[in-house]
Amino acid sequence: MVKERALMRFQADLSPKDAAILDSLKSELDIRSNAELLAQALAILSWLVRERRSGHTVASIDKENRVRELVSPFVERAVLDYRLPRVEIDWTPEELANLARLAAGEPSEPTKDLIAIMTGR
Amino acid sequence: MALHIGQLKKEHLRAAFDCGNLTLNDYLRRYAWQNQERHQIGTTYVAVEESQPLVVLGYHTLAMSEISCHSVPELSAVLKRLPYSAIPAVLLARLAVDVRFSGHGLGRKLLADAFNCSLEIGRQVGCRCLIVDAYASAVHWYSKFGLIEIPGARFGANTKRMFIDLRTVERARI
Repeated sequence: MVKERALMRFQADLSPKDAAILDSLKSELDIRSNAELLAQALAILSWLVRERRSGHTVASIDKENRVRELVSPFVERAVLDYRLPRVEIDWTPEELANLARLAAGEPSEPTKDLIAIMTGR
Repeated sequence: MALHIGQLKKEHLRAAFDCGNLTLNDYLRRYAWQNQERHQIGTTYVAVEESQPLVVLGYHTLAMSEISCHSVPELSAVLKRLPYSAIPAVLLARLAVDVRFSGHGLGRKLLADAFNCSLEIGRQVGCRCLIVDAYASAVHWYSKFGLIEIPGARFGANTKRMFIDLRTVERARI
């Protein structure tokens, strides 16, 4: 007896520009449904993350052997999570409000001690 | 003394480490390795001397975090100017030096290493600030390097939360 796999319904709101890209890709790749396109995109994205987590560089090489590395901030963040884990910090509202004031301002000038440790002087 | 700072490995000798603070000793001895390898909630970097590369002289522990707080009006104003809904931050969760090696500037070297690591993270994925939960006795020490205390800690907390903008740290390197 074949066990039926549960399917997850997925709905997304796309901008007109992204919707046009979606239609164009489906046409170019001869893909009939959004679900099939999403499955293909997920497979490629998963592969990209796995490659980066393995320490590999993902790049294209043109006919003149010029290399263009693919760098995605989102993927790099996931890769970095792999090396440096993410934690939740428990903030009080007052701490957050004070942090906001600090973060909103211009960065302060480095102190003499900070310069000393960062320059090794 | 030729120092090397690198990620904690299983073979590092942690049992003899004594910084004079039981919590920080216990963290290195019992939790640092499993937090790094099993739970992945903190990566620990240890300072060793080249001639005795397994003896831990000091350590710091880092983790990534983000400050997401639309409910706080002051932060919402900051976030409106940013493309993401949270401010990425590095948490310096622990920093300790063995008492036998204190007074040799090892804490400064560990802090510089934590800053350099944070700047590297910032270059790779973007990171705005470093947060430290400092014991009251260490607040003055951190403030010498430009860390600013964030008032408003929960009542009874035994640490003070401190902040430094990584752009300040970057400027210090020039």
